[in-house]
Amino acid sequence: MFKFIVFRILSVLVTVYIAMTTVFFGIRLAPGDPAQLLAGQQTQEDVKRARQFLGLDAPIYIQYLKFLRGVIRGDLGVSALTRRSVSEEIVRCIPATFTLLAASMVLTAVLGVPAGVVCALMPGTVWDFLIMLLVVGALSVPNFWLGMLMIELFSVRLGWLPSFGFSGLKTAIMPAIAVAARQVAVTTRMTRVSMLEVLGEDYLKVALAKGLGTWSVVLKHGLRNALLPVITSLGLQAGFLLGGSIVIEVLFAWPGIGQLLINAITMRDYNLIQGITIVYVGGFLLIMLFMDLCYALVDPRIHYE
Amino acid sequence: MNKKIMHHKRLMYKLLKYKSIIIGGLILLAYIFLVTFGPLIASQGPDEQNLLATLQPPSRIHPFGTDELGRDMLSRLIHGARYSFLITLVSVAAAAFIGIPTGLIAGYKGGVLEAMLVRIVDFILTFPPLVLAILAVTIFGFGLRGLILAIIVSFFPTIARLAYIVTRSMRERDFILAAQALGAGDLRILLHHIFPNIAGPLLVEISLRAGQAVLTTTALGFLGLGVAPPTPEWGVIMARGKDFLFIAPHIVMTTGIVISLSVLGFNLFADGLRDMLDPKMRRIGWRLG
Repeated sequence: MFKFIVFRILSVLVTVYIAMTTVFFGIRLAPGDPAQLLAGQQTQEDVKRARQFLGLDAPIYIQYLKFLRGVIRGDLGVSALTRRSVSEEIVRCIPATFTLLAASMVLTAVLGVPAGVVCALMPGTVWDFLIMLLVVGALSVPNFWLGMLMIELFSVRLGWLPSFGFSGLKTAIMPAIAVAARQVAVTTRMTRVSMLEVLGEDYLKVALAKGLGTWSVVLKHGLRNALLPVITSLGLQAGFLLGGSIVIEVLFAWPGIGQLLINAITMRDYNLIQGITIVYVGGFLLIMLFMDLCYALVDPRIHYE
Repeated sequence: MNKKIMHHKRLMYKLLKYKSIIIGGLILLAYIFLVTFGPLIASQGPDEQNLLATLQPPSRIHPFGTDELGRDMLSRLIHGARYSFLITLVSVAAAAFIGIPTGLIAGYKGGVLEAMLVRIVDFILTFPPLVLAILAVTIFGFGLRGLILAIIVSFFPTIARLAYIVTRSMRERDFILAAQALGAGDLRILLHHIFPNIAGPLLVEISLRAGQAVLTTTALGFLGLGVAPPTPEWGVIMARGKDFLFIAPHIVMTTGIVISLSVLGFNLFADGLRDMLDPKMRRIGWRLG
């Protein structure tokens, strides 16, 4: 187990290294000049000074070596946008994004799994049909539109919830629903299919024949086995959660990493873009690792060597 | 001849049984009709302004209302459909065109090619989907070309991986070995024996990807990273409409419905197709999931 975790963390590090290198060279080849943007409508002199300030006057391999040296020391450089260190900027934005993602994850588990079980227990009924209709709808709706619909209903019409910003849990309700909707739909569908398959197995009939209570059979024997593919899909879908949160952060003026990334891109803030890439790719890979470990927790047959 | 008719009859019967294919297909056909004959149906040009009639709610003259410059929303959305479907069609077709052959060859041939493909695809998929599209569009440049390239880059890995996995599972099957023993060349085996067997799942995947492409395009447009205003792209219209959400919600409402319906069309089509191809799922309840 220990060996497995160490190996996986090493492979995460290698992948993050390749990803940040790709992005490092990619954005420097991209159109748009950060020095020009930083200097604004100024003279050639100003642009030159801005380029020097950003360290972009050096040859690209020198820039790269400097960048690597910084990363090893845990220094991601200075943001051209705010002139503060990139790590500081990212750390400032992490609580907001983390709150949003955690709330969405909780919503996904709390809504998706039970809804899937309900569908599987009564397939073909009106309930099943209605829930599946909602699922197909949720998968077809752009999440930012869902967010706007909620703002229109709950903020403008009813005045129940604040329409933007991040101050406490109440403000997180609408953004979290908007981010989670897709996840909830996918999870419901996965749970339903997986549960239906498990419910057809002989060992469930045996358990029922032994005289065990229906709920105990459904939850202990059925759901536990049905959850395995659901967990896998949750891990894979975490990427959609991370991606989706960017758009929602922009919509709700949520002070998270996603909004920071969009600002960094509009200003061609190279250091900031690189730093945020590391956070997203690293974060995604760590979520996948975590899901693999959960897998072992739910399924005692799995041992990682 | 008789057999052929029987086969077609059975296929039609099957199709009718899977209502989601029909509904999804009809929705998509409606959009294709709009995209083709759009300019004839739209009452105004997408950029025709009328500053005397701004932010009007839906009426008989403007069924979807007008936006902040008095442009007819229905006309703009119809023209927007052309952008969305052009981007989707080109990028998903290109992604399939790159992904399917690489997956097929890597899965069939194995060796270095297989190792390389798996590495590349796994690497690209370590970026969360939208993050990948955002970074790619930044690197390729904003605008139509960059947008299409970004979607190709983010979508070809999953298509290639699917083609690879299914092909690999088929590599050792008896009918392939038999074809090899009879002296069939690699190209013949790939095209005549393997491809027909994996075409179904690939079609499902491509249809799902097309829906995703519409969503990605609008998301990038909404973030201001796609095509630039005043192009009537759906995401761009949404981004402008957001500023008028409080006083003229109809802009956002109509645009959202138009986007969602098109994605729904692709999703339903894919779902129905999957059910039809997977006989195991046939006994299970409603066909909508």
